Amino acid sequence: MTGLFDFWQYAFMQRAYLAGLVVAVLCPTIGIYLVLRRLSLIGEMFAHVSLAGVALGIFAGVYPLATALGISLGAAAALESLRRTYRVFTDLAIAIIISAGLSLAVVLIGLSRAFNIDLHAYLFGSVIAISARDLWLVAAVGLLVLGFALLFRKELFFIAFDEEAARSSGVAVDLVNLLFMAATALTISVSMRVVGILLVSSLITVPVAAALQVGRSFRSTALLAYVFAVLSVLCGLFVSYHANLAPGGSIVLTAVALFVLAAGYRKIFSRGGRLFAKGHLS
Amino acid sequence: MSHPVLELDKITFYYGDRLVLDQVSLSVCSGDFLGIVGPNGSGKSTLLKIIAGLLKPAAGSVRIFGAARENSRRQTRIGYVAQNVTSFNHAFPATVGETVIAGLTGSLGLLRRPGQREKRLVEETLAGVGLADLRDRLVGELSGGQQQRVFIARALVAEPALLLLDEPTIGVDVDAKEKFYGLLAALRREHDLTLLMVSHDLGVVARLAQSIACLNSKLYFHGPPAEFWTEDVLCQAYGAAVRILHHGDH
Ligand SMILES: Nc1ncnc2c1ncn2[C@@H]1O[C@H](COP(=O)(O)OP(=O)(O)OP(=O)(O)O)[C@@H](O)[C@H]1O
Ligand SMILES: [Mg+2]
Repeated sequence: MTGLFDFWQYAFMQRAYLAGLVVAVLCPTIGIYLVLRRLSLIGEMFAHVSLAGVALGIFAGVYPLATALGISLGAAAALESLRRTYRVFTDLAIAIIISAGLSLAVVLIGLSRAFNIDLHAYLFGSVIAISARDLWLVAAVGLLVLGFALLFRKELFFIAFDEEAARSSGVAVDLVNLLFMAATALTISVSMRVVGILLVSSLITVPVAAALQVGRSFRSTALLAYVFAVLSVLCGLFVSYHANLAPGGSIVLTAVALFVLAAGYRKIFSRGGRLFAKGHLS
Repeated sequence: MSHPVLELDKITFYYGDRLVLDQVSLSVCSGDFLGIVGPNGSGKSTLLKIIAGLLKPAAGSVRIFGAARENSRRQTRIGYVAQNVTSFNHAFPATVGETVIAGLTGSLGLLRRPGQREKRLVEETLAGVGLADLRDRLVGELSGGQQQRVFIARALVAEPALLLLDEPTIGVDVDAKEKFYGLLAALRREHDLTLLMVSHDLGVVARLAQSIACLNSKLYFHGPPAEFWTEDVLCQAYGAAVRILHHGDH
């Protein structure tokens, strides 16, 4: 007997779905603060740096996810030091690190003389490539990042809304920012296993952007972002299996479709734009 | 006998190599209402930021509640409302209630969640600033004056002993302004609140504050309002243009 849900009998699909669900929860958890702080580009930065990490892993014959994790944490530190010590504007600092990551990746890929199947899976995501070891790493990072986001929820919210007010009222802003950067680096380097390097930052931003269209409080916006991300991953993996597509594309396309629906809903049911409004002058 | 809540000793501050504050010394007693005036660019906001712990002076010391600024663990007893507070990201999806309860983040400390007591505090504070009806509205969709009151509530909810307000009535209509000053008076009566308020409205400051500090990089005057209206103070700090204005007023 064949059915639409036969794929569940394959261990690799079970792993893909489990890892996908963890990633679907992690991405908006980090994404909502990145988007609201207008730091979406940081997602792109860690993705490019992760590519260098993966290339290094493949080149040196080490577990690529481990090298990607390590190099991402290094990039988080580099960003902080560029901003603080050298007083480079944040967006410029991000652009410099993106360039460094991407060029290093190109060089390493050239040296290993192979644009091999492994690299392809990391670039576009893969449902068959997720090993038990990958799944364990995704789960461990998931616990760590979710734990952090839950414990520091009120601090993360306050800092995202008004960093200066948070600092002046005694919030340990520097500590929380440091941990948040590390959490972002971790999230992106494990999420790329499922969605692929090229599209991982989209899963960070697009479900949040969709939720912002319809959310009427921070709480509801966050909940909606989770719903949209989980829906995208479930649908995306399903389509990916049946149409034999790389999952990154189908997951993010689903997210974009949800965004369009949310934006349309908002256009019909409420007047005035919020996300894209210039901000009414007071 | 009232004791000093805030003591500034020879505060000097530079932005790059521009001298913004030049040896400013000032002391404020518990329960005082100090109005800070001075022309644009005279360093008023900079001074408040130093007191709030957001900027570090190049020289001089800040003592709050008798302890040095650097090792003061009592940060949470300071409430600060910035001058540009309403120029936040208006697309930020936060309700009035969510915004105000965030003001308790510092005083709760890491890992503690707001509970019943905190929720009640938020209700009371919102009622105090006249925003009880707007609790579930998005802050970005309120008027400028309403937003201003939300951010003042966010500072007040932590029950600060020292409240720093940087031009809190910008963009607030006349009626709401009077209400706001009434609120400040009530807060000072009910809690032992020490207040520092930067304002360009010399008349209001002179009417409401117990003392006035007139700043233009240096501290030109610090004393009761009655003494403030002497010409040389105004002229020195503001330049000659003020003399005409002042005379025109009377
Ligand atoms: N971030 C900054 N970088 C460099 N210079 C600054 C910065 N902020 C303020 N300044 C300068 O410091 C001086 C004091 O600024 P400050 O904001 O304290 O003035 P102010 O008295 O509050 O003025 P206003 O009445 O316009 O609010 C000004 O000359 C200003 O140009
Ligand atoms: Mg100012």
